[in-house]
Amino acid sequence: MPAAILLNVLQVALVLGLSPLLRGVLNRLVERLQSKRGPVIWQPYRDLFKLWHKTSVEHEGASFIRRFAPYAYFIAPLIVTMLIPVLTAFPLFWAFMGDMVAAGFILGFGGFFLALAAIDAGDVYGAMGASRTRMVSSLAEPIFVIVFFAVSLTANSTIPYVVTAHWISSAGAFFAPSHLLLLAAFLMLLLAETGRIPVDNPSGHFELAMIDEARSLDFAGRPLALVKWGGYMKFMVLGVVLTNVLVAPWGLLTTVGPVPIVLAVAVLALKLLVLVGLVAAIEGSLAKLRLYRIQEFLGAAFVTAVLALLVQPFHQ
Amino acid sequence: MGFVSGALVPVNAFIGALFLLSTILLMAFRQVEGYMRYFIWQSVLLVLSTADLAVIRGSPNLFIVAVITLAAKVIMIPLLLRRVLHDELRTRREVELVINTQASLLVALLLSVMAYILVIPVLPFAPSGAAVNLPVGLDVLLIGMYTLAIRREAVPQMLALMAIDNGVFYAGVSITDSPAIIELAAGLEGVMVVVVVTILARTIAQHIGSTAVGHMATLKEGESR
Repeated sequence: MPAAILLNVLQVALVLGLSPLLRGVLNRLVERLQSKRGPVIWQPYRDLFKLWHKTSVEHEGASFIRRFAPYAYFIAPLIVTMLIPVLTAFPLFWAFMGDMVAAGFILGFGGFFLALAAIDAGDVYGAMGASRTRMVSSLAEPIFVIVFFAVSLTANSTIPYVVTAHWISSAGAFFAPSHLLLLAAFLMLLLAETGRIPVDNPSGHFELAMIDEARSLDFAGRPLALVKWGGYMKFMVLGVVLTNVLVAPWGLLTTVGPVPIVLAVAVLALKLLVLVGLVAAIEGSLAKLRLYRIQEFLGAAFVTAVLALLVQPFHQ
Repeated sequence: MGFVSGALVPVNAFIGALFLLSTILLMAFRQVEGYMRYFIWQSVLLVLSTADLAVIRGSPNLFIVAVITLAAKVIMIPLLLRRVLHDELRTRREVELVINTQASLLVALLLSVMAYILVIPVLPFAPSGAAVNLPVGLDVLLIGMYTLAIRREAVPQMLALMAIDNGVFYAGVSITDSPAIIELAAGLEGVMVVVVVTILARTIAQHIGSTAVGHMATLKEGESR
């Protein structure tokens, strides 16, 4: 029991502590691919530290949502962390409290409040960004649902720990066409949901073209730090879902002990590094899509997800 | 079935999924260069699948088929296209589509559902280890035909034709252990088609200044260019 408590705390601490580093590595890699030097990988920590010690200014007439939203956005990925296998192959306390659909809704909850807060500020760009994130999310929602339909059809469950165990149950399960197709769909979903190229340009500073970043335009100081940190964690949590739950469940803890834990952290870091490399390669080779072509991108993801659902019964 | 071939069956299914995905990308892209890239991917996957089936069945004929496909579709056809067509034709973006991409994706989805439903009655008779080839092959055939119908440029239309060919091959290699000479003929025929169409496309481009064959339905009499 104490070991399980420790592991739960460790998982949350890991996501809290390592997510800025993950973003730092990603930023560095993307810049490197463009033949620039790029910021040091610790830069997100410095940003967070700086913002944390600044005072925050709030709009006159802004409602309580403005104060509440950064916390909601910050907490959501942490709750999801307790539902998914970050380090352990065996379920922890919260594992059966919610499945992956619940995880999606919890992340959606954070995004919803941030969008409300962006509109609440009364600023044009924030509201525009908020409405655009809603557009992307509403297009991503059916893909999300279909991906998890396909997962539950394959693994007979949407509880992350059960799904993880299913892929390695046999070679046939791992190499099933539906597995591959739903991975492709989920990767496209991850890019859309975390505001990466080709859906959004995370390094853009032009307000009219912003989608994801525009929501945090009117925040300052500590709330801004929370929003940024929440964004880093959201990326890491979705990355963990992709790598640990959907792709490569190897290297998760089966026994508790200091050495296996260190090993599990190292394996997780390696997997996330591969994911970050993949995302950086996509950012380096594609351009941002026009707003009205995002539907085509997500349409392709939707077709891929439906195909995963469709081919499943035929190749068991 | 031995251990190795036991593991190769799911690999074949995996390749099938990629094959289907590459066909959908071929349909959804707008740049001629993009079509070409996904056509090459598709052909590489066809080669891999054929080689995989050859190992599963221990059939030398299928190996020869894989090599012929590799030579004809992965190497010769793209090489020919790049040589004969100048950059202007290759890098062009097809702005005008008969049906927009979103609608096309949904049509592709419906075609896939249809292909799977059509294949259900014959699945019990499918050769062991290659059940995936029948629905995917039929699906690629249907999507290829649809792509052929919605393109207005000569080169993308020809690549769609080649994609249909790939789909037929993909389903074909699973059912028959055909003699390599037939495959050789089929492979060469593909190359010949490409030669003819590229020369035609080039001539059309020289005369009319465009390869948008969709616009050639009306006559332009007495107009000098």
